Amino acid sequence: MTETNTNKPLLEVKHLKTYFHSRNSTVKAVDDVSFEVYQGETLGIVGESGCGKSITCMSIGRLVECPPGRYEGGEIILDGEEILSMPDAKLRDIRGNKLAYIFQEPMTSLNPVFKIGYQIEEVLMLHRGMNKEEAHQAAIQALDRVRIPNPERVVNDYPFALSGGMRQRVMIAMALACSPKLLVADEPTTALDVTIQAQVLDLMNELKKEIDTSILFITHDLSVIAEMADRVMVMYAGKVVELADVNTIFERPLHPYTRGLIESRPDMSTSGTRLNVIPGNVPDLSDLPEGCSFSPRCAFCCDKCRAGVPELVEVEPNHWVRCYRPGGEDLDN
Amino acid sequence: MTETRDEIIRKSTKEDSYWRGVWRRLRANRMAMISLVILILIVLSCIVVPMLSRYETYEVIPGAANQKPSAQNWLGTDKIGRDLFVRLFYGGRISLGVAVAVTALECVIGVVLGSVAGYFGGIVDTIVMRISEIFMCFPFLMICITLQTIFGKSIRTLILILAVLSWPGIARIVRGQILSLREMDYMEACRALGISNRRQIFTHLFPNVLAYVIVYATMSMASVILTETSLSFLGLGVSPPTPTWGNLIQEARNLTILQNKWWYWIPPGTMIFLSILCFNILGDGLRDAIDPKMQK
Repeated sequence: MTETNTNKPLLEVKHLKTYFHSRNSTVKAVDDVSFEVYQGETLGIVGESGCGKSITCMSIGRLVECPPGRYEGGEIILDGEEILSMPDAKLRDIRGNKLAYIFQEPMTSLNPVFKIGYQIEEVLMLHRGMNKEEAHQAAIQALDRVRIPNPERVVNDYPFALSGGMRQRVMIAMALACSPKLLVADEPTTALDVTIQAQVLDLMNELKKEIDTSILFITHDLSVIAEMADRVMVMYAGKVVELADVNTIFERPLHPYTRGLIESRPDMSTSGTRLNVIPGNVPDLSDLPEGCSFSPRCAFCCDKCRAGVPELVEVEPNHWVRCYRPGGEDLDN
Repeated sequence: MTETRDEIIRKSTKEDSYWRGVWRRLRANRMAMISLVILILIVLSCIVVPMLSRYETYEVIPGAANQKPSAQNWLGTDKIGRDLFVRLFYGGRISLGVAVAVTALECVIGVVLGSVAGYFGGIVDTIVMRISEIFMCFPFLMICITLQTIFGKSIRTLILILAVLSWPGIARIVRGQILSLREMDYMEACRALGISNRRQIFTHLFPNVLAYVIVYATMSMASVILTETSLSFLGLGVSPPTPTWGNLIQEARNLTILQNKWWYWIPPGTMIFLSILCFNILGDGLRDAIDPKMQK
């Protein structure tokens, strides 16, 4: 996938900072995050709950509620246009059109009082200027595209008549209705059972090729990442800690946190023994430890780690790590 | 003809659409259905009786004042000789008309302000809710008298006054619902699809609170009929000679009539009683039908 990196990126996020202010504390949910997504690639974001991966994604469409959230700085450039400073009306044109979302909860992401068809038609009428009849036909096609059997019938169904997997397909159909350039999928398979999960992931991969869209894929499931992503970004406590292509991440992880994540997966060879865990808990984002946020849980932690925050460094081509001792070695030596 | 499997499925899902479910549960509620039928009969007779009657509403029959009910005047005549049967149903038109108008206006004001407050929250919410509290504090009769003095006494003024004084109830219900609905995932999805605020509120949120508004409106019909009656009885409602149920009772406001001329007050009293009872039972039935979880 390295050849795509020579292209101009579709999405550039530069030094994004999304903070949440409450009366007596500031939560730095996304703290100086930069990354790119290229045309046609899938970038996976992994991390524990509360590491800022969802907020990063919401920020791209400026979907974080303000207040309490605030964009403290940075730039988000999607297809040449800056999102954070864009007027609301223009942003509404982009949402659902160039930039589409799939959310985690298919059971509650469809409005219960409208027919499936109407919810897809609305997007098409809004962004594609179709009339009712054209939109209706396009909605049937959209359902057909996500392999829903009997689309002519399902368009007239209400959401309650569909199962979770079917609803997630409808959500995908809605998101892809306007052939977006970037699809942001925020844990789209977490709420589904494993067989349905595999079907939905296959479907997303097929559709990605079909309409040549880029995907920003969030998950905390490393096996899903391995199946979906071209490149992987690991986040911890609101910061990017490692960024590399998917094979590198799994074969040569350099950040102790990434290593911890990979080692703590259940594995055939270790069955019967206790799982490896990363000691400790995710730090409170409003009260981060001094120095590197991971230092209190890190096996390779040294005095330097406790004193200062390491920068994200390109240790080998296209492999970025935020650590003073990547792979447990000392950078200085 | 054998139905294909698809057709059967289509039929069964159609049967189970939201409003069909509501109607099915309402139909199973015998009291509510009886109330609905009585209400329909009352409304129909209010429309039809004045059209078919051989007397006009304001027509004075010469030499026929204070007549007992008879074959000519089914409910007798009043003290200047007007037929009370036609006046009863014409009065029903006014009473029910006022109730419908007030309820409609009150729901429009309440739903718009309530949804805006609930959707935007924060300062907008605070302002709207404080205003609604101010309106709820007004001493009702005083404001009524004052406003009627300022704007003149007419049915239109009465409708406006009643609507303006009663919107906080529905506004608060709608606000509460919207506050919780706006946090639903599908509203998040709405925002992510680039749907405008106005469209989110009125196209996507409103149908979700419609059920509550319908229940409230039914109950409100009852309370407006009662309020209009009390106001007319006090001489603050619709001015005579226009008949309303309240005005008809007001004409019976002395002991001799109450004791000796039952046809002055029993019929309008019965109509008021029946319609209010039926609206309340229907409202309860609707609430149970719309949200079966609320049943005991």
